[in-house]
Amino acid sequence: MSERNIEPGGVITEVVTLRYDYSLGEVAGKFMEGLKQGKILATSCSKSGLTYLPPRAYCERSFEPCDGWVEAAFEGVIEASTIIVRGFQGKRNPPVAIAYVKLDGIDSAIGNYVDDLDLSNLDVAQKKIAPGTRVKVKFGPTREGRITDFSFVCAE
Amino acid sequence: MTAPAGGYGTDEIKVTDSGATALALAYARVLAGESNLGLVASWCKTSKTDIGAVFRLRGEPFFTRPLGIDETVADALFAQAVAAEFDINSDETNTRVLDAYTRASCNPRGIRHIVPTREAVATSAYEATPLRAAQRAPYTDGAVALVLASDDFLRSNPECKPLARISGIGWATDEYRLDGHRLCSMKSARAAWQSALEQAGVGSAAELDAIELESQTGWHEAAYVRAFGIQRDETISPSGGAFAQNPLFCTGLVNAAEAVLQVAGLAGKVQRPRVRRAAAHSCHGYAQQGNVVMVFEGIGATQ
Repeated sequence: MSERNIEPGGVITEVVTLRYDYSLGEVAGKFMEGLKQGKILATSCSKSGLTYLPPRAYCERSFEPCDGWVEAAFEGVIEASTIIVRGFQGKRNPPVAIAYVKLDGIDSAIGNYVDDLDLSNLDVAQKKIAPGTRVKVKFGPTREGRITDFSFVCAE
Repeated sequence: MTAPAGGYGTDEIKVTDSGATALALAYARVLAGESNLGLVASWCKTSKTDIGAVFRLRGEPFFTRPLGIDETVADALFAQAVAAEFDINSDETNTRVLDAYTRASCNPRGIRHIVPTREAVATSAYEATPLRAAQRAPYTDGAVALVLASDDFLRSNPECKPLARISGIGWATDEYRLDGHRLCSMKSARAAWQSALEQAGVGSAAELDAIELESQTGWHEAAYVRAFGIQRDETISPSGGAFAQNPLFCTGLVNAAEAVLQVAGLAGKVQRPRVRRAAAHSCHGYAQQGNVVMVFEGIGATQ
């Protein structure tokens, strides 16, 4: 910025880029490894009988450690959904649809993108992914151990 | 307050959730006998940053952040859930937005946004379905402060004349999830509301003369009105709420100040007649995960 642009009461704009390395930990790590193998793994609690996606280390009902793992089905029901019109740096180009889905046999919902949806008319598209809609899991061609390794597509 | 740190050499606590949470904490300290006089201050300069980016970074990095979920997306999920739960439609939402803008236009402490036309609200672009851009309260810069004094302090300093008495504060935090049940159940809002009203000896919303709601969107107001059992429209956010000024994170404490002014008879052009009790509400987090409800009484109201 040239000196003549700095005026009393003006502003200086700065864009800060930060890099973070996050430790996945045991639970999220096992989930991400499962994705690489084409599996969606949920934790389970033998005390409460509840299963968790995203996987949790502790049961929110019994307050005991989750002591098991189960493989989730590749079909489920949308609990909540939206079509995001604004784009974000580093994310998919808009519009994108996301949904929180309770996969069959699992007691909590996990969020992800909804693919293969015609988004040319948002009102129509919104109804196609309304809560209660059945969806399937679709794995992408490459699996790198991230939540975006899979997405949902409408079952019908 | 905004920064997660304490003061040096002074009795100061900083609270990150919301300004209203800071008031709740200060109130608890007074009740516990830890404090006799305090200042609760909150400010937010939304113009200086990208609020969406702040929210996207607040999400955990494994399951939430990769999807780009920010406050707008969370509010859209909330709107969809409460629309189904309470049979709320866009027409009602748009009407609530227009009414809020109209009330806000009279608020001398508000920004005085131009009141949009119904068509402008109804046809504004989607930000995230079903939430349209004009159904959301615009962010503003702003600051607010309240002085909190104990009964002991007031007895010792009779020259200090309080504007209102806090008769109840409730706060609660909901689950982190954004699934359908969490979004539509509004458990933390209901818990905070019930706790505050019970403390205040208030049976229902019908006994409140003004209720300042933090409604970041018209969908929020429609949902809160139902969850709290508010049946008298004239009591809803006389100030215009977030549509008057919306310095996010301190909007709830602004509501508290507006409620104090109502019971003190000092709200100016938005003053409601004969306000004996008023409630203020605040929410924070993804899709109103946390809620605070405060009940104020006019001085002498319970004498």
